Amino acid sequence: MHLIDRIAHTSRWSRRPTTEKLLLCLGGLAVCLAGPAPFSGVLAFAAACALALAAARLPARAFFGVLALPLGFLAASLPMLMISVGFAPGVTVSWRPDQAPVAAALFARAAGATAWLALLILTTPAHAMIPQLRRIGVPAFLVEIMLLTYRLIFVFAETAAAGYHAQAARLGHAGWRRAVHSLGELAAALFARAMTRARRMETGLAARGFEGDLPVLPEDDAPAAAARLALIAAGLLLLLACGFAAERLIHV
Amino acid sequence: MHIMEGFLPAAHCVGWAAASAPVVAYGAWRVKKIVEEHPNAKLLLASSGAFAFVLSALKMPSVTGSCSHPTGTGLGAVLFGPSVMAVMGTIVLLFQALLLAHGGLTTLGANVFSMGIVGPFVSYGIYKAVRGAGGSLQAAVFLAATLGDFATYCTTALQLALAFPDPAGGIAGSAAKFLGIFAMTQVPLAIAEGLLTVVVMNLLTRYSEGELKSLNVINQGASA
Repeated sequence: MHLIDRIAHTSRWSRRPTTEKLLLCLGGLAVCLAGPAPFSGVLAFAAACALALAAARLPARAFFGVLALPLGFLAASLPMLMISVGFAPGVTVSWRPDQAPVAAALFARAAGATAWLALLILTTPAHAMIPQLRRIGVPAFLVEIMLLTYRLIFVFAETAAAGYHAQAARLGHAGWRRAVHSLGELAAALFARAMTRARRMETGLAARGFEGDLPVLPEDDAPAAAARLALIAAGLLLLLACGFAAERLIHV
Repeated sequence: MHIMEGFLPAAHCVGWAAASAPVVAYGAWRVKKIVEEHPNAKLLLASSGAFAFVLSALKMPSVTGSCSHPTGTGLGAVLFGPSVMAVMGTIVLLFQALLLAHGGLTTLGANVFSMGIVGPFVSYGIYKAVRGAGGSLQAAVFLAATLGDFATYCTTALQLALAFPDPAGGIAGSAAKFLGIFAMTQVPLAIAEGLLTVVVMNLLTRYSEGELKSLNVINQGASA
């Protein structure tokens, strides 16, 4: 979590207009889902990797590190699609190599989509994306709550990590029973702290005349250039077209 | 039980998002009413949301020795009420995608449906039913958290089965397949989370009565 957030704040693209990055990456996700599998998935994966490493210059270790866990789960779940369960007559379980194309299509699509998600979250800090939710009709009070949630997550994560280490140093996580008990204590303590913090914020804000709004100065977000947005859209359409072209070529 | 980014076909992503939207919108409407009456509830909700996120990121010891993470749906449903939990679940799932690459944006609707809606509503219903029948707090919390997790897994299995029907057994065969896998891997986790939630609720009722009372603003507004 801290790694993703840190890179999002410090990457070469972190100061680029949020709208452009959102169009690019959400568009990339859309291409993965809308294009012909597995071609679009493979092409989109390659495009996302190229942008991440060559254009945004994300550290390769971090980029592939973010991808590793979901892709590992994905690979582990593919054999599930090759096993078939039928009911005629009685329960039958069989290995179906003919399902390999389905599994390959799924792998390509999910890998491509995950790469675009990784590109988005490693180049765009969450607090820049959340206010954009106003554009799709999310009400202001929810956006305010989300921005405050985002800031508190890091405070509580630090408290939780400190508590966890203190417990571990006292053998609080040795053995299953003790681990469950320690974790319960940690969660209860964290809850009490969260509620206390909310009350302290209430008091502090009340002293400043809080009437329900939490206005914060928005960070400078460079305005999106129409030309660049058009370029991004064209690039995405080209990517989609390449997927269809590849499908036609390889099928014929 | 997150479905990862890109795992579901486009039509399913849209379908599950459409199924989740009315419930989340209703929850948001309730939150709006609560916030209008008690402006301070904003801070409480943000604090609770951050708590739920951090709770779900803690490593939970599993019976098999491996680690997993609590879903927190049972605890959240009991503490905040299910309609507010649908909103908070959506916020937490969005942050899990944005900060941890856990779950995804295209699968957000499906994940909200299983973890933010079905799980909490089942948990809350069981909690109310057991308490109403005169069951102890511990029994109610354990059953609510464990069966809430169960309901979440069954929903996820069904979502996967609809997206990937079995070539021989169809959707039913595929559901049997995914449920079989979840029964082996997730049932021990659901029981572990049930026990964990009991420990948490015991400690909260013993030591944090004041903090629990401060939540009345949210869950009384939510259950109305």
